Amino acid sequence: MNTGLRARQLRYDRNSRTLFQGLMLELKPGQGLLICGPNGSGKTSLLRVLAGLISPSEGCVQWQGQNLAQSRLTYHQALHFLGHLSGVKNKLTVKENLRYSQNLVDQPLRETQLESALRTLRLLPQQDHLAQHLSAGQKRRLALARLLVFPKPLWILDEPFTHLDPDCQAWFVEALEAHLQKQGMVILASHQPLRLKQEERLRLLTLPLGAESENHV
Amino acid sequence: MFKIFCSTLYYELLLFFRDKKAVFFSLGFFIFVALLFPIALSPHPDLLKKFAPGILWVAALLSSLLALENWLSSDLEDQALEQLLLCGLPLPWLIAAKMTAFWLAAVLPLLLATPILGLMLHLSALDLSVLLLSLLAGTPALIAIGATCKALTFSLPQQGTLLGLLVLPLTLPILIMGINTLIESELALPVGGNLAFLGGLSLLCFCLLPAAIASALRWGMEA
Repeated sequence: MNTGLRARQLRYDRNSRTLFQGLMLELKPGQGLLICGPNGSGKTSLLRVLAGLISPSEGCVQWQGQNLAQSRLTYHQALHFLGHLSGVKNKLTVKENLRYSQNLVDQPLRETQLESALRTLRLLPQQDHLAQHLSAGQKRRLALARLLVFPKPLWILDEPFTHLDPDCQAWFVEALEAHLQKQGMVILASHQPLRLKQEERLRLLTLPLGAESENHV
Repeated sequence: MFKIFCSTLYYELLLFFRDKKAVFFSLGFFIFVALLFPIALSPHPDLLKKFAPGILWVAALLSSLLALENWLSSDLEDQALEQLLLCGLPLPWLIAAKMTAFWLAAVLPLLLATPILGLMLHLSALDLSVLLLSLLAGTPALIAIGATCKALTFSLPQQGTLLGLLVLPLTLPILIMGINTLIESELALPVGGNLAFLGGLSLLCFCLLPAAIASALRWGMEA
């Protein structure tokens, strides 16, 4: 049984420009992948391709040995995807936002679980505030709360550290480590160097600007 | 599945309720379009009575078009749409719940305002009830067709005008059927068949088009 995520010969063109090509990638349970590269090198596009949100111009992405086209629903049930804005609804309160996500994740969520997650993320005092009154960092934490309360094996995160204060960043690195410890998988794009205690779990993929070279990870 | 449909419906309605402008804009537009005609044409009761069904149907069509323009736009802004596409649940069900919520929040208020506008336009009680029934049976199909066009155009710049150009021709048959119901009722012909056809069309649209919308949304993400 082949577990994990694998991508073969990925190429993605945007506006007749090739962002990356010949990209090979394999991620097994308990492994993380950090994607770096300058602005415009295609980090976000790569994450969207890997999440199955857009299809690659060439090549394929496989989950548990199956092409995404065949296993889309099972793949997405195992996936947390967090984009730049991460889908926090401004007109819902903090608590309602998590309940709304729960509806989409279709996993149980007890009130005590919800409260302890909000306490960890220092959002408990704001739990009944509308999300539009939160600061950018608080919104980011609310989005990250989803990762904590609904366990899923694969996380794909686009710049998860933006707007987070140093305390929160440290806390989130710990959460990442715990997730990898539990045989979870993480792919994240970040401009920030990331240091984990178990460095061997995290690999680095650097996307060059104007991708003529081929990458294998 | 039904549970997910209901809870999505609940949150969508809650969002509409919190963001009242979507509801009141289309309601206000509906009322003002209906008010313009007596002022522009003539306040003569016979004339108004004759034109009232057409006026109200066209006003309902235009104001639901106006409301449709904002449908999905907040989901696009906060990237909640991506979460919908990636949630691992059958997307057509979620879309159907969103469409139902949209109909309840943006179109039902128009139907509630119709009796008052009908009185103003000198419609008789019988004609008014037939008009209401025809709107009730026909507007879900309008919404479903409009939502499909919205999903096809959401990734394009300046989609507002394009949306109108796409939706209006496609909804003409519904408009004709709807007004035809009223004409037949005035001639004391049975209207059951017309209403059943409109209702059936709405049901068909609500069953089939969510799947088309789901594909259109996935496709639009690529652009």
